[in-house]
Amino acid sequence: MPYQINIDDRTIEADIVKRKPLLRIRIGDREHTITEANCPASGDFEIMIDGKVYRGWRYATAEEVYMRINGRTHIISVPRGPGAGAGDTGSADEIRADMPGTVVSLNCADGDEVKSGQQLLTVESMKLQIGLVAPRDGVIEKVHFEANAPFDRGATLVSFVPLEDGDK
Amino acid sequence: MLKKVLIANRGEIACRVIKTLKDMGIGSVAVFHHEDRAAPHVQMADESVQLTGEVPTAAYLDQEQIIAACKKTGADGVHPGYGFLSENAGFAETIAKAGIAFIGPNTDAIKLMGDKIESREFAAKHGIPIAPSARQTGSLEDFIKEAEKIGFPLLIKASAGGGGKGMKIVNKKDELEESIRVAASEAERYFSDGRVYAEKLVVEPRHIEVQVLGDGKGDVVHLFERECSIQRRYQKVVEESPAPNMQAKLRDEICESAVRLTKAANYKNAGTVEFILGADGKFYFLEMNTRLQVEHPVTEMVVGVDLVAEQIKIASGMGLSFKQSDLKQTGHAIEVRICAERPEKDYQPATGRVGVMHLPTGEGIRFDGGIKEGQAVTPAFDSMLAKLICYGTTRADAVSKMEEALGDFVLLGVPTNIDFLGRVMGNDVFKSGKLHTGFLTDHAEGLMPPALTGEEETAVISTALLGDADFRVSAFEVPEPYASIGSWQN
Repeated sequence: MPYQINIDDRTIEADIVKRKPLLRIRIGDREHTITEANCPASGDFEIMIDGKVYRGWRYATAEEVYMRINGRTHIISVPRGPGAGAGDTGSADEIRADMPGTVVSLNCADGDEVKSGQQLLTVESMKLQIGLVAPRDGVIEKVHFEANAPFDRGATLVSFVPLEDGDK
Repeated sequence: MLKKVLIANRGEIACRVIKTLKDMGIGSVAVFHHEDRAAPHVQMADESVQLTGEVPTAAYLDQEQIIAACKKTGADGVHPGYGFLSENAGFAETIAKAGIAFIGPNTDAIKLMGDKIESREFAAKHGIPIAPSARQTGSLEDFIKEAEKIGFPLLIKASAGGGGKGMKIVNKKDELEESIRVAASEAERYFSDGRVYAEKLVVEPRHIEVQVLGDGKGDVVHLFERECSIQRRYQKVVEESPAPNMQAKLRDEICESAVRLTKAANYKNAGTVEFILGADGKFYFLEMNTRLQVEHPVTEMVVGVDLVAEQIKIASGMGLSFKQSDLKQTGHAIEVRICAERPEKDYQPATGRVGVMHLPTGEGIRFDGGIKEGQAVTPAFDSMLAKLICYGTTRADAVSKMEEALGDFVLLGVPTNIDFLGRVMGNDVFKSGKLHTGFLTDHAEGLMPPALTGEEETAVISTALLGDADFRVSAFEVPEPYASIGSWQN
């Protein structure tokens, strides 16, 4: 069973091809040989891929891996290993909070029919107001917070009537 | 001279002020909310006092607690930094009444410059150019006539407005009446106040500001200009001094206007006079900030002055350390604001923890920060984490030094704009110095992160996997006979 890696909104599969004499992995449809790997979960790393050395820094949180390689930072979700399931965070059926904040104002209500891109609510986090828009055309099933209500990271703010039942 | 100064602020600016206090041999007192208890400003200061508040920002805004902290520690001066209480006239007055020196202007100047309409009229009275405008005082017909005199294009703005609501751009005369009606009805809807006014629209404006120092006894100097046109969400992200491609004559005119305004206000403290500069070379007074600015380091680097030290000397009644003729601009300095945000997602602010941090170092590189490894970046405070400032003999020098320094800057654990700022430095139009406040919007597409090359993608995925505990178990620690670790030392 391969590993699932989400990068730039794409999912790439990776897998171990061989463990010895040298580690060989498959990324997408290409194979690579890892000859050196000093790679802690957090801190500076040094790896050799196909004979080329890469050095940088790595830092892992529960959800994401941050990497600094060649003067560029990459943030990807933690690789999902075999058997981890394909659970997704959020979907086109709901708007979730990326960070904690407060609802400033609501422009929609339960049962409203909305268009993709239409602004549904304004939230405030870190002193900045952000307009959140509908991810698709549809009907609002429920607005979960009232104006001025605080919410936590990951909270579902607005949910949509699932598409199958969406045609009213 | 003051003996002990309490800094009524946090983060990078508190650290910045403490540094100068140490240089001057003045005692420092930090205040902090519980959430900031391990923050660098608390560790740097000689003493610290904990403040309480329902939310963290409330602690730093609690005047009574701050005055009690001064009394408890014997601080004879308060430095407000920027933000929080720095432009609160009531606070300045309360501090003064308690017999403590407020390192800032007198209350009259704060009040005058805090009122946008009053300060504009004050500027106009003293011959500082303000953008031509017209207010509706009588009939609609009279207002239309007055507005026409401004010339086109012009803006119709809501008197009570902000954030672009109720604002209309009018390009020609026959659009004017209808635009006024629409703007007034929108203004009524948004603000329950249908009053609108017309103002000249400056196309592709530059934000130019002048650093001034006044001793409150009529002595005023300027420390030249800063260009702050690179903005997002109406907030500056890149600032520099001198302003690129600016003729000496125009620079002199702008700086002289700033000095005139500052003198007229009998101003005491460091201050900044902000202007809008049009492509036609005409400039207009915007507002005056009666405090130290975030971007003050670029001025310090090109003029060779410690602005915080000057603020403290002025507050101690010592007057200015130099005359105008002693001051000149040498070289070029650029500052970038390092923010916890996702530029590719409309600059959405982000939270996390500073997990790994390595700062760029080298000659001419200055880092003003208030963060350290392990520190949480929470939604309680502003998203600006630190500032990076680079000095070069020329602008091209400073820009390339900054591009390199940003490439060397490692900050992992919270999304930041570091790479985005690096792309701004590498942008050809930015390099040419043809700047205006719409720069980031105009170049948004070209400033997006480039797609990963196949090689980069392989490196990123391999690193993600090789540091992952589960992957390591299956790659290296599967017991014989299935696999062997071989020469692996991990």
